[in-house]
Formats: sequence, structure tokens, C-alpha cells
Amino acid sequence: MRLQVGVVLGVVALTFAVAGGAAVAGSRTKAEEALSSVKAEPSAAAVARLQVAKAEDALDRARAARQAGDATHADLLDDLALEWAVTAVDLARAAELEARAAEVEKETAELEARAKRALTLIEQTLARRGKAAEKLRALGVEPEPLGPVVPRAESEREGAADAQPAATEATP
Amino acid sequence: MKHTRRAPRSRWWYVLVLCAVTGGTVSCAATPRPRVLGQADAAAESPAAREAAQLAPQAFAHAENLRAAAAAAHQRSEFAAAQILGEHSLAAYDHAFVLARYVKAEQRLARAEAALAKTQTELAELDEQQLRLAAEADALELKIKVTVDKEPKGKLPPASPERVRARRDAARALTSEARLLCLATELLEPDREGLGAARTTVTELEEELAKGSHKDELFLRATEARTTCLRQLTLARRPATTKAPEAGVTDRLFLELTETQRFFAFRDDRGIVINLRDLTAADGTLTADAREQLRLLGGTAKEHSGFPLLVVGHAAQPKQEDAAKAQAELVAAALREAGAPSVRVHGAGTAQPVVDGRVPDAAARNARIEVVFVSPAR
Repeated sequence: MRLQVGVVLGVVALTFAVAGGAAVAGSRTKAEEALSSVKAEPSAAAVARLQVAKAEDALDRARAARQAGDATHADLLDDLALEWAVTAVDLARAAELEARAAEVEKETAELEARAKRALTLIEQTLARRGKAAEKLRALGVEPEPLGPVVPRAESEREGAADAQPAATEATP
Repeated sequence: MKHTRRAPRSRWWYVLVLCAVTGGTVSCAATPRPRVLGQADAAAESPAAREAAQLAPQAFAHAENLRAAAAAAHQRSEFAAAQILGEHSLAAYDHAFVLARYVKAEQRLARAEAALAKTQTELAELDEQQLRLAAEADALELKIKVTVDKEPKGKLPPASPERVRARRDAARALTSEARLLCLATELLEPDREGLGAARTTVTELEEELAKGSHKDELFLRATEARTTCLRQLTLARRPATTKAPEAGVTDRLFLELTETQRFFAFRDDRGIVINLRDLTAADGTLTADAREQLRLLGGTAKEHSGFPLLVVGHAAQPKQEDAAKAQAELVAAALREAGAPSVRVHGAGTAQPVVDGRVPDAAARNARIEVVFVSPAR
């Protein structure tokens, strides 16, 4: 009976030990993977160098604690390293998104300048058409009915695209 | 009565009591609060934290939980755990701030993309409107020319010899323009009805002018011939002008040529014109710079195959007319080699000078090769 209880307790303890070890290894491995992905991209590494340095420091401290037999604090330090590593990844993503947004904004500004020029050209052509129609009338010829003109109000353009999408939280 | 005397306490007893009191005081004093917990508190109160609480609520709550766990560890006098959890909470706040920044970037991108799509649509509408208005204005202006030309013209009043020479020069220039307009029409629609008659009129005029005729009526006939050829060109363009997919092709090509910053392009009735000068070296071959320019133009013509090319040689002096034509042929060959699918050459002689022959640098300015991208639509 005593032997059976001992075996059961041993199995339970072993299970907890393995599970605990796996969890620790999970944080550390995930942190190391995240750091590798950031460091593989030079622009991302440059943007998130502070977070990368902090994550690496936490991993070093965790290793030292584990070597000293302090498994509890080593686990906490692995978690800390993971937090910094994931922050580095998300920071690089945010910077990339900001760069894309800036590019699209630049493209829009260029197109808006072209649209402004097109509008000026339309006004000139409209004046030319009106002048020609008047001249033709003066010559005693009634011009054919002209097509409609759809004026575009500047105010309408300036207030464009104010609708904002709902905020969504990015998941690490 | 019996007096009992208390034995004096030893010095060691006092020392022992002092140590006990000191030890108790030290052990009961509060453990100093790790600095990182203060930093975490400051991060939690910052303006960035308020924004993160709104835009990244889960990450912010995670950071708050870690800060609370650090404080609890400190309360339990678990100094090392409080330190690490405090650092973790700081990292988690930083993460929440980064996620808030990500969400804001997402919103900014969505706004920018929506604005871009709207502007693209507007620009397309404007292009379409411009095209329609320009076609209507062209049609009206053509109608004015035709109406004016229909009116009976009286004889021109007698003029001085200078005036007669000026009229003859103007007649030559108008006839030359008529020829080029008819050639442009031919490039777009070779079998156009009415084009043959217009060409015959121009040829008759050219022959009379070549004989040295000074008849006053030549000027009026040349004006009419030019109007007729322009009308033919406009009518040849009409199907393409009214066809929606062709909208803005000339504008696009003009912009493309201008953006190369290699050419000064301008527009006339024929299409887009580029003047080239100093193309050949002393031995009569094209210079390296000329070859590069023609390679670019030929490549552009290949990409815009709807625009046939008309290469016109202009001479500064009558004796250079053949050389100008030969240079135009050389240019045409280089353009064909660069991929231009349709190229036509014409020697305009001295009929269309840019400036008066008495101007100091007239010869350099008047001798030129015109490369015309004949526009298939207005």
C-alpha cells in the first residue's frame, strides 16, 4: 500500500516537473525565435534595438539564475524576455505599417495635385468652349446643345475620407 | 525582618538585551521598495497609458496585473520576485504602448487608402470630363473655321513689294502646314474619303509656289487648303475621340515625355512635337547623344503604338533642303531601329522657319528635325 502511494506521488511529481520545464522552455524558446525573426530583418532590428537588448539581457539573467539553481526566478526572467521580444516584433510591425501609410499618403498628395491641375485645365477648356459657342452664334450659327458640366467643389474634396475604421487590437 | 540582597547583573546581560532590541528593530523595519515599482507606477499614469488603455485594452490590463503582482510580492517581502515582476510590468506597458501605436498606424493606413481610392476615381472622372469638353470645343472651333471659310472673300488690296513677299512666305508656310496635316491624317486613316482631293490641292499649291508665283490669291488658297486638311485630320480622329478607352492618351504621353526631362515637348494640331537639333557629327553620322535621344523616343513610340511618328526636316537655307531631308531619313531609321512601328519622313525645306532669317542665330534655330507623335484623338 505504501509502495503504491509512493509510486503515485512520484508520477504526479514527475508530471509537474516535466510540465513546468516545458512551460519554461516554451517562454525561452518563443523569446529566442522572436528575437531571431527581428534580427533577421535589418530595418526591424534597427527600430527595436532597445527592446532586443532588454530581451537578451533577461535571457542571460535567466540562464544565470537557472545555473545557480534558482528555477523560480529563472522562469520569471524567461517570461520577461518573452515580453520584450514580442514587443520588439510588434514595434517593427508598427513601424512598417507607418511607413506604408506614409507612402500611400504621398501618392494621394501627388494625385490630388494632378487633380487640381486637371480641374484648372477643365476650367480653361470650359471657357474655350463657351467662347467658341459665342463666336459661332455671332456668325449666325446656333451651336449644337453642349454636354453638362459637373463642377467639383473643393470643400467636398477637403473633407474626404474622414470615416475611420473601428479600432482593433493587434495580437502579439 | 530579613533583607535579601539582589545579586548585581553582569555586564553581559546588558549587552545581550541591547543586541536583542537592535535586532528586533532591524528585523521589523520595512523592506525598501524596488525603484522599478515606482517606474511602473509612473508608466501606468502617463498619457501614453491612457491611450493604450483605449486602443490596446488587453495588453494594458496584462501590464496592470503584473504591476499588482509585483506590489504583492513586495508586500510578502519577496524582493527578487518583486523586482522581476516590476520589470515585467514595465515591459508589458511598453508592449501596450507599441500595440496602441500599431492600431493608430492601421487606422492611418486605412484612411490614406480610402483617400487614395477616392482621388483616383475623381481624377478619372476629371480626365473623362476634360476629354469631352476638349472634343466639344474642338468641334465648335472647327465649325467656326468652316463657317468663316465659306464666306465669299474679296480680292486682297494692292500691296507693297515687302507685303507681297510676306504674303508669299505666309502662303508657303500655310501650304507646308497643310501638307503636314494631310500627312498626319494619312498616317491615321490612309483611305480617308476626301483626303485625296485635299492632297491634290496642296500639291498644286506647292507647284505654283515652287515656280515662284506671286499671285495674291495663293495666300487665300493656302489658308483654305490648311483648313481642309485640318478638317480631314479632325474627322479621322473622331472615332478615337469618342471611344472611352482612348480617354486622355495624348495627355498621358505628353506627361511621360515631359517627365523624362530630356525633351521639350509642345502640342500643335498634329499632336505632340519635339524639336531636335545638332544631331550629327562632322562626318554626317548621328552623335552618341542623338542616338540615345532617338532610342528613348523610339522606345516611347513602341509603347504608344497608337501614335504614328512624322519626322520633318526643316532647313535654314534653301541649299540645305536636301541635307535636312537626308538627316530626317537618318533619324527615322534610328527611330525604327529603336522600335517605332510607324514612321513617315517629310522634308519641309525652309517653309516653316521658327524665327526671321535676319535674327543673329536664325540658322541654328531654324535648322531642326521635328519628331511628331501624331495624336490619334484630341
